Amino acid sequence: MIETTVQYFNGKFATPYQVKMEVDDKSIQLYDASYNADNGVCILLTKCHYVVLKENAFIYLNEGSTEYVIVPTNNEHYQQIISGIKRSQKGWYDILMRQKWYTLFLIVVALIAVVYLFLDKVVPPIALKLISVKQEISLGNEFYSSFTANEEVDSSATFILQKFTDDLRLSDQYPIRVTVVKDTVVNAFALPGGHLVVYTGIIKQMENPEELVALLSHEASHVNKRHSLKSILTRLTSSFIVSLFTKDISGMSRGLIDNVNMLRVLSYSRELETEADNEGMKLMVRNKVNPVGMKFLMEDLQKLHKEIPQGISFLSTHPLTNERMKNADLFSKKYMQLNEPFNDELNSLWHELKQSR
Amino acid sequence: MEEKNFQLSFLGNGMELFKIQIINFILNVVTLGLFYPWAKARKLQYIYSNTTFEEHPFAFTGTGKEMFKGFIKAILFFIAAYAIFLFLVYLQMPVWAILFLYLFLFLIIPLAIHGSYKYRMAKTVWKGIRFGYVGDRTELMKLFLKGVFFTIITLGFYGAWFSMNLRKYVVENIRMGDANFVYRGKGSDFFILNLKGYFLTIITLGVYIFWWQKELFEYYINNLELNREDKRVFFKSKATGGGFFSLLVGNLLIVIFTLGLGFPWTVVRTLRFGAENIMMYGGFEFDALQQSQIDYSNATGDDMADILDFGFVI
Repeated sequence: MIETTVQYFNGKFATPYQVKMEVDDKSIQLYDASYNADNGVCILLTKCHYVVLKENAFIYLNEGSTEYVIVPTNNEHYQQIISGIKRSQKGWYDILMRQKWYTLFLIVVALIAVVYLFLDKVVPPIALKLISVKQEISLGNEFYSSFTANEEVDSSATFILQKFTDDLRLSDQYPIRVTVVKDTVVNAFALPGGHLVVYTGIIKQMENPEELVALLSHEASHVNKRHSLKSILTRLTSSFIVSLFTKDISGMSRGLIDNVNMLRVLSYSRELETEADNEGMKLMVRNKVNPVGMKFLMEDLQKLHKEIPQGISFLSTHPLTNERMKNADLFSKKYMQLNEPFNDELNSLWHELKQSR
Repeated sequence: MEEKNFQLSFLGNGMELFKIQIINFILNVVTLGLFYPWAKARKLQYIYSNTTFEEHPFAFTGTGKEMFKGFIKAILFFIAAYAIFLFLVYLQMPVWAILFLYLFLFLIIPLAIHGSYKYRMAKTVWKGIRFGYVGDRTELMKLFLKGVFFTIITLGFYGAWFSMNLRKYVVENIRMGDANFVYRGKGSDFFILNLKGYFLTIITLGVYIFWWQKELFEYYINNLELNREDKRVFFKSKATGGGFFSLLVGNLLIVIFTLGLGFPWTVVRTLRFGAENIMMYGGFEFDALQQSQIDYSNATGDDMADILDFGFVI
């Protein structure tokens, strides 16, 4: 038990009163100067809070902060009184407040990392499971209509290429619908749910129909393996994280629309590309087309790349590596004996397509 | 009664405020933003308790719980208004929908100001004595609508009078215990001040802006007075244009060079600048103040003001 004399403000007047104060483990007792024990006021330490400014601690005795006492820091019992109140306050906030700034900074960094990992690695796979093929197809349709609004579609080439695609079996789950866009850009990409977009620029570069089958199989494999949905989800969650940290709420709603446009320039990871190559070549074999077309396609694009390095968007969205080329080569060597003549109908469609431009 | 000088000070430091911001950030992320009202309470508590008048700190007694409740109510209010708006659009009444939206905005602002002052003042305590706001909601709304109307039909010229009338109404309804504030600013003076500031700023290619700020600050402060019975306290600004220059340019540089992390230091600098440059004198006994304002814990208006994102300014 500590006993001392302090200035007391009673919450009725802004006038200080001299009072005697007793402090024990759990409470503060105040008595008027005459120390009349019957007139004592008792306050639990857990109800108190304090502020230290310059040479004084202001100890508030009620929640409304209207009653308080002033304990000078040079009071002989100062430390004991303050540590008593401190001990009775065990809030999260108070614990955090006692940390050094760099500890807090580390917590922030760790927190950002955890949130990032969660949204980047945990949420997309779960969301992928939750989104049914049907939903994915209708989502893809929405993206498709917002995408084609700003593009010039080559309808006759689209018609021929769709017929070409229909003669192949590229997907068991998704309806593969192709669109040819009139543009010199050497590019092609897949939307979730089965829409493939092929630019006239890339068709022009191809020398034989096997390459076209390779391209379609590769893109169809992105659809079948839900790669584009995966990358949209990843991008969506990362833009969500950015908005969360920058408090930019409108960024969250903007996210989805931005991401549709991102698909055009989105680059897949090496693993996803290799997976699409392998799956694509399997599809080619299934359709009795020599998978060497994949290798030809890569070679053609690489040759062109050497001539105009910046010209081929397809290579920046589908990074072509030596590993991928080697992989395609190895795969196709196994099928060297696959020497069936190229399907007549496909062949004539191919010529039609090449001439249509 | 002899005249006396009274001193306002801000003793907070950037590092402490920085820590509060970091902790608030952490807890906001962990709670997906639900901690926001508590974060706001912590920040205000820190700022208030480090502001002293005559060596006694202010206290902010609002709580996160109150502000959370207020926040929910404010959100529901906005959602309801939005629903009405959408309903009018759905009924193919776009003109009514737009009219409703404007009317809503013009009414919500005075409502938010009223609620915000009522809450913040009731939660401001100095030497155990609560402040208070005793303005009338309907009257403020009338004043506001009148101001908006005349400002529009005079193409903005009435804005100076509108601003001064609003300030006068709000300030004169603030109580410090049983003492009340008086504000003597006039629309005409304020108009000329701004006109002069505007043209000089253009002529000096922007340099005058700091002196314009100084004059505005001075105009707000020097026209302020605190009365209790027949005793008065006068307010006087000591701020200089150079002072505003180093404050504002310094703050800008801090924010730029710390990529925004230094923001708490700019808050501290600004508050310290404000406190140091407000001088008070008069024959007033602050010890004689009496508790006479009731407590008020509805934070809806304050949260509306937050959502509408206008700062709390006297």
